[in-house]
Amino acid sequence: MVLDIMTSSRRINLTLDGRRVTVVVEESEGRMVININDEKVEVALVSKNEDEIVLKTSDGRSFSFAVERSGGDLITLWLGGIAYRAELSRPYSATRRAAVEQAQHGVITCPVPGKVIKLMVDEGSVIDAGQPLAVLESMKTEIMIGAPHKGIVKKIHIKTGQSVVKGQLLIELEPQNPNQ
Amino acid sequence: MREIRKVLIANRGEIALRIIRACRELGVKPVTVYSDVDAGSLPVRLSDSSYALGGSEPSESYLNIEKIIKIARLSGVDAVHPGYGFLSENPLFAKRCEEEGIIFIGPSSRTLELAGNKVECRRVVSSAGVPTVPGVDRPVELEEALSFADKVGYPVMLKAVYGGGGRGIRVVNNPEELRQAYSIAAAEAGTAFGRTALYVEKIIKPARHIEFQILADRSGNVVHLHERECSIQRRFQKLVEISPSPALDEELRATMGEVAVAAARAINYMNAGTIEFLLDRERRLYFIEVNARLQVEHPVTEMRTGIDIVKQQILLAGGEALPFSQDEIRPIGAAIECRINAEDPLSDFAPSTGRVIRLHIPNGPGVRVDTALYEGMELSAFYDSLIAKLVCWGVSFEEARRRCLRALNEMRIEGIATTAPLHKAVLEDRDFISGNLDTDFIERRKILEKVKKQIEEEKNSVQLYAVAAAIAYFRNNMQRPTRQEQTRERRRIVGARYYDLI
Repeated sequence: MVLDIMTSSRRINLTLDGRRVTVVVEESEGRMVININDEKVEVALVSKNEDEIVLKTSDGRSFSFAVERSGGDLITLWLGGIAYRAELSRPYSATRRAAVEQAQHGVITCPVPGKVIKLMVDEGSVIDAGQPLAVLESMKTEIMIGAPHKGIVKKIHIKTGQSVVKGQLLIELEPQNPNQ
Repeated sequence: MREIRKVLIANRGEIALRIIRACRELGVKPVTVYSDVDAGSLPVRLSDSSYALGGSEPSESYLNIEKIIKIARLSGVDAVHPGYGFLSENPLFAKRCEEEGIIFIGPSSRTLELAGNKVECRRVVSSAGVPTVPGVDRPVELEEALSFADKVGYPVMLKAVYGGGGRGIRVVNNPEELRQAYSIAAAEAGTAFGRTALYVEKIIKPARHIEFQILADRSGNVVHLHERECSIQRRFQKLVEISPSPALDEELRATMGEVAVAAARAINYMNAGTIEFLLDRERRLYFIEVNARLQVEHPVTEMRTGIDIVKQQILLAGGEALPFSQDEIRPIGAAIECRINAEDPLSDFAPSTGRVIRLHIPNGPGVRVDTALYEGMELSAFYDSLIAKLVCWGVSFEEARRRCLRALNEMRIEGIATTAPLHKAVLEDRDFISGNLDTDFIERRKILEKVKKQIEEEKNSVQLYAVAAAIAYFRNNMQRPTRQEQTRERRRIVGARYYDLI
């Protein structure tokens, strides 16, 4: 039996653009073979630094991904104006993610920086899933903020005319008890 | 006649940079102003001096007349160039400049007042013999709008009297829609333009949007620099502009040029401006409006004529005579402009903000890019989303078209979504190639569907390579979990009693 000590193979769990995938990676001397559900590609790593990863295929095509700095296990790669988001799935990440998710339940944050131009509900309003709650203006475009689920408006953290940044807490909702 | 030695640029972004370049070539000192978010921008870095406006909202900065006038006085400029948008067509601003003895680079405040009242301007050019889109000749209330629409037939367009630039327009298809839309349109006009007055025009469909560039000196000499066709639009906002227009032969071009000059004379136009027309299927022309300012798409004309319109603006404002006659203006070849916006064509053109993490601006023969982007720049939400203009010239339309495609494929703007895929789809469309254009082009040719399909295909084919790149990145960059996280994880696994497993 011959042991190929030059090739190492491992499984990696990733979330790619929100989808969970299991990747089988075989590496040898700077070349990688990536296998997802029997779809395979082989690449050579040409260069890698904080801002860019350049890969080359065996038929001479080059992929030069620009790296958007992200924290920890999340990376966003850009090529041709399209974003590819990959996140490592690891047990520690799962715990952290669950905690973050729980904290975010019933919370609406601002998707893009802009200005609040209209508020359609008050604290205490009963709302349906999808109901328009507020309108933002960003780059001369109007963006409608809708309710992610049925419930009651618990607290409104913004007022009309206020400038808001991405990620800013806008509105807190109390989900309606499904048993009611 | 007054020599202009120092100019204040009351604008930002790519057009501020454009004006700085014209100033430099004339030996004129450029002074810029900036809002908080523009403090690190290219125009600020490349001007002789720069003044903070304080604030980031347009109302606190680029739309604030008194702040700008104060800075103009302080910096001792001879003239102000307002660029496009912002205060460029604001008669109050032009008047304030006139009061302060500062030259406003553009038409007079009186002309701006007239050109800004879209229905009055129509009436004035119409009485000078210019054919206009069938419409009312003064602002109308709902009842008058209804009776006009009954007379000419639906669909009609409800337009804001003080609108312009494709804003404040609503299409109504029948009397019920008109009844419902009227008060909403009036309220929107009030919010956007300060006045609720509306007027009505018949809709010409199918139509081609063809405009003529005008230059006029203080002595009343007026020339046109030929046309640009801007039929490729979405929601009345131009996406791609071309010159020459495939719809015009020499005769029609000459006629339209004369009509454009007549319209400009009728309102005593001075400096640079554009007269917009619609051409219907029977090749009848109709005046729509005057754009009393330098336009976004001016490079298309510059590339064909060799005339630097912004330099001409500064010279004409200083009292120079037009240096060429109509016969001496002979455009060569063809030019196409693509307006690259920071918008995501897949999310209904939602504006994209973020950092430009990688930038490569294309170059080479016949390729011009007007932009104030730089690598590392952070895009904000305060201003409109135009971030770059790609303008390509070719000896023929086909060469210009291929050049645009070559340049778009070479260009890299990473970190934000842009409309580049949309432009590629337009440039590759067979009706675009054959010059079969009208203002319905984007919908008629299902461009957005093509873009969606193309992006999805690209995403599918690149995805595996992105995974490979991510794994290569993670390999040496994986973060070890913190001690606290390790302990918490062990506790969770083991339960109420835990053992330190080290």
